[in-house]
Amino acid sequence: MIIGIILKYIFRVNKVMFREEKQMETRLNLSDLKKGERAEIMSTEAKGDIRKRLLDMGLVKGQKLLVIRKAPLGDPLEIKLNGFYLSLRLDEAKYIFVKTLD
Amino acid sequence: MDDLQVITVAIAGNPNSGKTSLFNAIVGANQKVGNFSGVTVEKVHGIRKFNGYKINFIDLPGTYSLTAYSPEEVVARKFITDQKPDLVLNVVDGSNMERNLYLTTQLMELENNFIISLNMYDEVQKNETEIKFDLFEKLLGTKIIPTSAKYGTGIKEILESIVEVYENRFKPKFKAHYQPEIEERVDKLSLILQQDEELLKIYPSRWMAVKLLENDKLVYDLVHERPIWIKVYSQLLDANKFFESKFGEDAELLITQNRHSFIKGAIREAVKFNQISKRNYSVILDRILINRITGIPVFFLIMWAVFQMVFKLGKYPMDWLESIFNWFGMIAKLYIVNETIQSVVVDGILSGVGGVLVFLPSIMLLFLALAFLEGTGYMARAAFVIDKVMHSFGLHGKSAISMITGFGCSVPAFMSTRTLKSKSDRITTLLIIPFMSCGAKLPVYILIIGAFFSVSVAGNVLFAIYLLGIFIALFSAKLFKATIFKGESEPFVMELPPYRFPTLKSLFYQMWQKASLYLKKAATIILIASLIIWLGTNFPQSQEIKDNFHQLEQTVLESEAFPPDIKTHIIAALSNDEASKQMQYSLVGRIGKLIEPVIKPLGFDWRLGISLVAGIAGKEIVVSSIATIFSTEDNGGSGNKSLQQKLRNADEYNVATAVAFLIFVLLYIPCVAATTVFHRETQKWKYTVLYISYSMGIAWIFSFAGFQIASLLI
Repeated sequence: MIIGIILKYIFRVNKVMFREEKQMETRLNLSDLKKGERAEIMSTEAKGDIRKRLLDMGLVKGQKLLVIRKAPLGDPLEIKLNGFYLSLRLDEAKYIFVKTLD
Repeated sequence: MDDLQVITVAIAGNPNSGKTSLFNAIVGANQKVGNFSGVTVEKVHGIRKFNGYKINFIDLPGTYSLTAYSPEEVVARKFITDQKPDLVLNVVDGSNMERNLYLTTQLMELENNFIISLNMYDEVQKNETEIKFDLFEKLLGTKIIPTSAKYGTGIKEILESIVEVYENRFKPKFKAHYQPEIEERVDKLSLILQQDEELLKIYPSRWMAVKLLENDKLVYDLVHERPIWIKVYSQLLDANKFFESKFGEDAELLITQNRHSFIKGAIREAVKFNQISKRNYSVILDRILINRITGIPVFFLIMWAVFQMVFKLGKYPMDWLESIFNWFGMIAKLYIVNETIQSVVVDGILSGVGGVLVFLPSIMLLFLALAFLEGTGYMARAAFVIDKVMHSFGLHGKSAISMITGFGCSVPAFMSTRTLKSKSDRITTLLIIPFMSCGAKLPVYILIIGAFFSVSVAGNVLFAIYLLGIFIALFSAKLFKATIFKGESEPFVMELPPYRFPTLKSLFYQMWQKASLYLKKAATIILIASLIIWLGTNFPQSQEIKDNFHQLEQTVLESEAFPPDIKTHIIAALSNDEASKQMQYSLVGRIGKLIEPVIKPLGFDWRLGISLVAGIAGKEIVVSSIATIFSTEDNGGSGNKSLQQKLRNADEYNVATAVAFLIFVLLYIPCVAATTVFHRETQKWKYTVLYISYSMGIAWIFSFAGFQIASLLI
């Protein structure tokens, strides 16, 4: 039983490490972007209502966007996509993974 | 006259699409406002006669989508699916088609007749955007009519098209816009759903199939109850497994993506943008109004201006109303001889009606200001700028606006929470607004602070009271969000619309709608409640006290010992004494005495108890009832030196009592008018009960703490 727990723990640690590594390499959060950066959405990984909301507003895979500014206090974020301007909190932007465009 | 055939038309569109302006341009003053049943979402409808028809337009709430996400969306969607209007008029902002047409794709799925109004066409033309209307109409399957609510163009064409569809001379087509794999699954699900005939009576099967694949709550709940669910469920699982393996995505995402690519495709085919730099002025204005340095000062400056306008400017019509009612009172006193009836008319009915109307100027001015902020597009920016502060207490950026309004009066502040779309944000904001110290509490503070504190610290004490209110409001917000609204975090995904100048017409209509809602929904209850409290303060009256007073009065008048000017003084003192005794004899007086054991730990005696009970009618009444109880003439309340003297000299009171009393007045339930409007806004007894018991509890606890701490310090 103890071995089981240890194995489980190791397995979990491994999984966490693996996942972090993968994120570091290929994925970037929308919340990490700076003013003036362009990006393309890779995936939107929220759940439930938030996901529906983000998808409805056009934050779908393949969509290009431009970071306009952060609010004076650093949160929320303003982005431009599809010819309109959208604000979202960093908490929600975290669900959106992007790759930067030059 | 009324035998005209009625056509029901629902107007649907994104927020900021000019939907309401178009509605106003079509029906003009011929409109009425109410609530959609069961929710505090306003329902505005109006009638326009055209070509022998009576066209009934219903302005649905502005939504970006028809998912069952916010109350507005549920209302808009249910109206279309359940009420089945003859036609849906979809208003699309021509200067922002890509986002606006998303709602259109969802309307297409609903299989209800609809036509599109391509609004703000003047801007489209200014940007030299070319649209191939024939092709665009073919792609979207219905008529597209260019309109400009601002200049009133295209209205006649809209009306003609409505009649044309109604008379079946034109039939919109509903085109599929999904990739074959999705279509296939939709068809399979649709076939299963068709086996349930009861279900088909409610919604079209194809639409239900799409919604089920999309994880739609409302349709899920509906189908979940049916025996057919087992088959549906296995088909759904199978479909999602298929999509997952083939595309690595679930159906919800694929369907949304399909809609977006359909729109992109249609626009690419039919629209040619010639000018890239549109809404330049908005970008420039934003650089000034919401940049890192000026953003917050500009926010406070604008809020300050709104506050000044609503409460300083609103004071003039309020004063006029007051003098009109005083004048009515004088007339009534002249013509009504019977003392009791005179008192009922003047102090009961007239002051009750006056008490209702007194809120009207500030409500109208506030909503004029809010409509202006919303219409220009600054409202969303205000929320954007201040959201971080509010969010750290679990609130929304827009809550700040309602809270600041609360410093003036809770009644309009409660009504302003309608701009908050999420229920938990809205209820939490409603619950904390009363802690923002309203204008009517100021006279009480001035009386008490003036009586017990030296001039040098008076300002600081007053400031501390306001600060305590803000602190408790924010603390309570955090508490509510962590307990009753736990886990209900709503996303803050909000458009920052281009700056526009709202039409005067729509500003006026919005202001008028709020005023009439207040008069229709709250006024009668406020009137009745203030009448009840007035009755409680004045009845029952003791004949014995009255006789006693008259006897003494007579004795003084007949006595030879005093000169006439002293006589009037003595009689005035006796009369004040009578009023004090009568008040103690009245129902409110008895309740005040009854609650003495409860308020004793706060350092209050029955006299303060009575004033607090009477203060439920309106906070400023606390002052006048203290004056009555202490047998003093109430001459203008706050600057009352002799009353302050009496309070200071009363052995029962000290600075600790004053601290506790100030805290209690700040925190305990606001007046009946505010409580009524609160209940109107939540429409749930559980929230009203929570609100009353919470504010009473908090008031007691903080007063108690204040009394004990202050007692230790002095």
